[in-house]
Amino acid sequence: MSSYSGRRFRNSLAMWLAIAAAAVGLFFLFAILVTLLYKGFTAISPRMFLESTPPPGEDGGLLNAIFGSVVMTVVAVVVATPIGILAGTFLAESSRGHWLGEAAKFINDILLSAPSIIIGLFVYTVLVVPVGHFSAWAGAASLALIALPVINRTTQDMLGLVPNALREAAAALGTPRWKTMMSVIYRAALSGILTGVLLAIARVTGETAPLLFTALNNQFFSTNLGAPMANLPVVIFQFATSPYDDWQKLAWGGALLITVTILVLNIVARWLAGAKSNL
Amino acid sequence: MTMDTPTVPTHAAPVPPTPATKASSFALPNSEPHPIKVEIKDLKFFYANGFEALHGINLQLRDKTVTAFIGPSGCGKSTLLRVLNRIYDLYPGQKVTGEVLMDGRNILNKNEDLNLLRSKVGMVFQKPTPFPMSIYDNIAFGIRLYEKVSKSEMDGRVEAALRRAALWGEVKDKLSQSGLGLSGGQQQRLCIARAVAVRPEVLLLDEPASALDPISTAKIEELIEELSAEFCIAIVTHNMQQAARTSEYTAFMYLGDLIEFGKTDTIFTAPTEKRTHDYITGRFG
Amino acid sequence: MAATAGVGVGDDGALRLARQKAQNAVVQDRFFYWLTFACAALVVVLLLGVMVSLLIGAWPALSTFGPAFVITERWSPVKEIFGALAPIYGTIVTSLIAMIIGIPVSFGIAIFLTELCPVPLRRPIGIAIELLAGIPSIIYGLWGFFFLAPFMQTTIQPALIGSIGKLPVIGILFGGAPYGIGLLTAGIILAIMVLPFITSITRDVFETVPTLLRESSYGMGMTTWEVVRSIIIPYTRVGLVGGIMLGLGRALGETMAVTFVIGNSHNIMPSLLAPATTISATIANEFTEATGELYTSSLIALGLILFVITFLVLGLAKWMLGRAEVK
Repeated sequence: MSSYSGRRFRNSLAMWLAIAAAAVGLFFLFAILVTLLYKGFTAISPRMFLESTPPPGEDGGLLNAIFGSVVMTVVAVVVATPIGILAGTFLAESSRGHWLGEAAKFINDILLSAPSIIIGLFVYTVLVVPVGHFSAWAGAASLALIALPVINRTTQDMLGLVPNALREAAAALGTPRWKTMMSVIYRAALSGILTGVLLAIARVTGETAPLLFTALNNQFFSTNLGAPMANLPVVIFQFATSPYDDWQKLAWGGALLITVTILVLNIVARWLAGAKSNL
Repeated sequence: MTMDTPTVPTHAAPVPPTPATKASSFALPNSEPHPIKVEIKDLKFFYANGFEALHGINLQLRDKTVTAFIGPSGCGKSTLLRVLNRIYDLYPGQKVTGEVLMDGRNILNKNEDLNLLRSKVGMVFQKPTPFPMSIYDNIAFGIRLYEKVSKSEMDGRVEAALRRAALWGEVKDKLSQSGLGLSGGQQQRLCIARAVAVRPEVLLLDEPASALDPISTAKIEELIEELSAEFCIAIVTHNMQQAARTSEYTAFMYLGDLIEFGKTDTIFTAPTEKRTHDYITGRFG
Repeated sequence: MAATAGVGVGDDGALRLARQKAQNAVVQDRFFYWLTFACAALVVVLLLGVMVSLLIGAWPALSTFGPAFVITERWSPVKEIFGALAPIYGTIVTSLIAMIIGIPVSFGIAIFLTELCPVPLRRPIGIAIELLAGIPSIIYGLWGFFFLAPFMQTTIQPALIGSIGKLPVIGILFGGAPYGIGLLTAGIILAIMVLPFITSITRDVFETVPTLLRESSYGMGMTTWEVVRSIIIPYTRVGLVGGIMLGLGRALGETMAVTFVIGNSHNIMPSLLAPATTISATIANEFTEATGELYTSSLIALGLILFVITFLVLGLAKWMLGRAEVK
């Protein structure tokens, strides 16, 4: 039997290590954010938002990349949200206990955590090879495939939180199932579902790998979705690994932009999930 | 889980026309009981795991009358109520046998249109369940499902329903506010208003006041008395005094059997079965 | 009488309308059911599609090289000889380093948050750790490339080479020149990336321990550490492993963070300080410049291998987490 002071010592040691671990975690978070702010801040200027990416060695902006990212994200979310919500609805409402439903939920969660570069490969073989060239459509498609399982999963979880009594109350009035969903249940779960969409957007915003071989990149400003389109992550990748100072500065600026967007989305999503609860 | 007592389909006490009792102050002067609205014949109910929750129930619900269902927890009274609007159909695996005739038609028939049925058989649940929409829309929602009603007529219907539920005075200035902002008692009255707004033929109340404070409970009991002049009402309650106060007929159930059924007066003053007597006097339950 | 009777009695028009609406409702419900079913099925079809397209794309390489593909180190676009051993090695080693560093730190944070942290601070610190999860991997890559790697090169790595590097046997792991980039640096970045995942699941799982169990353990006079070690961790064993597997799944598939700092070398060296490559880094770096069917197909074959590995790991994780919940 160990002595009491031995036990106390081990306990203190363990507790200090735990505190150290938390400090380490927080340290890295702040280190990364501070670095980002420090290096990216100098790049923030009206120029960054008004000019397109410059040729090597020159200064410029990120307009085409910002535009491209926004466009592809919007397309991806517009496509993935209804499909994700409807899929989540089926899995939460209509497949209780059925083995196929359980399998579909399992597969969705696999897709959720799958390496995004594999999604990129898939979209490449399906949307780039047959068409013959890279395109923003393909980029948006790969982003949609990343957003879809996120929205599916959060919809399932949020619908599960709606009390059954509400469904019964609607049914007791003779409400058809679809109208119960649309007018009552979705409304009750609305803030949760919106949170899911916001989190999906946040997730998609930083994704680089899938865009590498779908949308590729474009030095110029383009509105043609059928052709390669600039986007922030790939531009950052290209510029950061280059030897040009101007390019590197822009890379940090873009990185800061992405991170701020994601943090804001996360904060809004949290606020939404906490504040407005119709349940 | 079966008892030793033989599971004989229990009797339903046939009710002969009797002079008006003092149980209900709304008894008709000519003392004829109202016609039978719902006839339940040999009803059995099985949960998905095979458990038989109702062992062959026979009884009748009369129009413009309140029938109370009492009994200890788990006796099947709520289960029985939920057969009458086939809300159990929402859960796959639950089954019934027997017949439930409403105006002569067996509603347990496979071809029965459930949505239409439920628009005619209203239900109020134990916990208030206002929809996440305005008070006005809560009431209008049910009406819009099966009727085409102009805006002015709808306004009138909403007001009438809220008046019936004794809620109009309290909410008339905030009809566009969310129903979720009301107090518990108000929410439950909103649910009652919602149920009566669609002019059902039968009203099922599943322990409507058990989650409420005494003042709200009293208001709701008043409501039930008033509504009984128009609707066939079935109310499940574990509050015997409530049953005695509000109903003309009472059914006592125990472990899935209908032990005794008759006029409320008789059940509470001179029950035939010993078990009824024991329950009423508080020996168990 | 129509005012009090139900819809339909004595009012034919209204009855017909109600019946019509009810009939429409049946059709509408069926449509809605099949619509939602199709969307749910789409997800399954997509996963199958991914597998099939990877198989088809990888086939030329797999049929050319056979099973030897997995154990061949040589990667020569010029000679068109490709082997997956270096990427697989790099993927496994970096993930292992990430787990070795990440698991104790994550557990430490979780223990801190559930047992030590003053209650008002719990939410903010918990949220801060979760924010780490939201930062995209390219940011980690940038930070690693511009800050961690030089730091490793100038400070940490020389120290390691000078100390552990001189020991027999283990010294080989820390030998060679300080490049700054390489397996170790990539592993450290991955560790930081999986921290929030493992922490949050560990925390959730810790919180499933019944308060009664906790209180009676403390009531017996056990120290916090003893409660954690002997009660909480054994009770939540299955969930903990599930969380670890989930973190592992993340580490295995991570691309951008690793690409910046791995060094992109297809040679397998015994030192952890040497440059290497992972499956996803190889694909990310070489895919757009790959010429020739065999080259592209080999890269897709790499993707297939990664897919299979992560599928297995994630499947196992989900299964374990599912069992933890049932408890």
